[in-house]
Amino acid sequence: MSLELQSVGKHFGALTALEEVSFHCTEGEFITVVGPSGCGKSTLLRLIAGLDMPTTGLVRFHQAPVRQPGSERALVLQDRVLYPWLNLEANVAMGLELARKPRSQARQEARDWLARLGLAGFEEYYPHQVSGGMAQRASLAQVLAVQPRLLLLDEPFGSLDALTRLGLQQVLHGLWQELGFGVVMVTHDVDEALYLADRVIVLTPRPGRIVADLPIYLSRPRNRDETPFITLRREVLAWLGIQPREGEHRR
Amino acid sequence: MQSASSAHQRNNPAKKRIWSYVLAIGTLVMLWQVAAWSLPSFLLPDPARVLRQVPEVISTGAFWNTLLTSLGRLFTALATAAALGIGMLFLGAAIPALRSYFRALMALLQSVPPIAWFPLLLLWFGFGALPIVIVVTLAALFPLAIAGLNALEQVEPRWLDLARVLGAGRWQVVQRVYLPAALPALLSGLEIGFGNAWRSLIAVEMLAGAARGLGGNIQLAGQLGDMITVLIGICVIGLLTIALDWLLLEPLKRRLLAWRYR
Repeated sequence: MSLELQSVGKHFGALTALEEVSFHCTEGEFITVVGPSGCGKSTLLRLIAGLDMPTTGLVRFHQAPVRQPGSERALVLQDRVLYPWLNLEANVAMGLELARKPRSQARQEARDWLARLGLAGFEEYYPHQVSGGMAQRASLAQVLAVQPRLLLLDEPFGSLDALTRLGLQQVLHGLWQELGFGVVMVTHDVDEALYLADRVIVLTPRPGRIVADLPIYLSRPRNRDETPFITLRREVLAWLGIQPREGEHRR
Repeated sequence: MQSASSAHQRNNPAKKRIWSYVLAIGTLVMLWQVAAWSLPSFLLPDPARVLRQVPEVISTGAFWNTLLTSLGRLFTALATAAALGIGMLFLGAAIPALRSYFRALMALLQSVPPIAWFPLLLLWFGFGALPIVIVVTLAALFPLAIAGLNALEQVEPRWLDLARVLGAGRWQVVQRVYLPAALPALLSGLEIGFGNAWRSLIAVEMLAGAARGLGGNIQLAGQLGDMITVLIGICVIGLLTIALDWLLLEPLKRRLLAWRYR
């Protein structure tokens, strides 16, 4: 058992963001969490990352209770979080330099990660000089460089255009297959969830509670217009309380 | 590359600024000339007469001594203020409670013009460079520290979260997130602090009768009725401020905030 949540709840004053959330995942498993906005999805990731502490219940990672953030559970946020005063290379090298790797080695590894994410030649660029998709690739490189065992993604492609998003889903899929880290990814895009996940967890809004935990047994790489995919999409949308009309495609 | 075009765009505003300065200096000299026509020359010598005296004045060792004395005090004070300000920022970033304490302290002290401390300092330390440097340090410190401390409050929480996720400890967060994030504000504070320091320096030098330096020179010349030296002193102060801004502060900003100019 790699990650384990036991009856996790989180209150902010009178507001209950999450209630009785329990699930576990195995090493290298790809989990997506879908739910309407305000269902505490981001809160869930912050608890797993160790940035916030649950009000009730317990988060365990490889048996040990999570008490603080650490690079083995790395979080990527939706918005541009690269440091604006560092160029892409320095941004990616940040985690390595924090771990006191020699500077030249950190920089070399950073360049390798950037190249791996298709950003060779952009090392000297500052975040504000590159597109949203490129910035998000660099964010992935920055976090992958510290070699997390679990990658936490908070709507990582939510603010990108549709084509860029599809491209980055493929990039992420490839890296996940190759490197074997686990993923907990929060998204409001049902197709994205089904394209990537071993399991889709559906949350209700306010308070966030798990209503469905669906294993996805489709072979990879997946095809978004095959019948089983469409059937699963209907099922997830039904769990979300949305009735898709015949022939209507979400996004 | 896009750097060529952006370099070009950068040059244009700079050129515009030079012309604005030329125009402003021209206007002031004209006003001076008009005033000189209506006043007797022992009260206000005209620009041409002052200009003729310039070569003679700046060829003396005393002039350069005076200038270097003042600049020495200015930079000692600025360096001290910067060190104190950065130290405060470092502690304030690591310990949030200290941050608001420092802010309260600075806000309280800022309400007193630094020169008001001078009589006290004069009694403690006597006529020397020390009381002058302390006053000038205070003048530079307040805007610097307040700008920096305010900037700490503006640091985006996600930058802090990201650093912690990447494995940063408390001091690493201070060094790698708080300080670079506060740097632009700190440099603006330094600019204001520089202006304050320079003005306080001249004022306190005029106050400390026996002290040398530009302010002391102007004060002495005024008492002797030597308006030419007074006016040369005023011009030197004005031109020096602009020169220091262009030769020191601007390049420093461009170097430290290189990412903003790309």
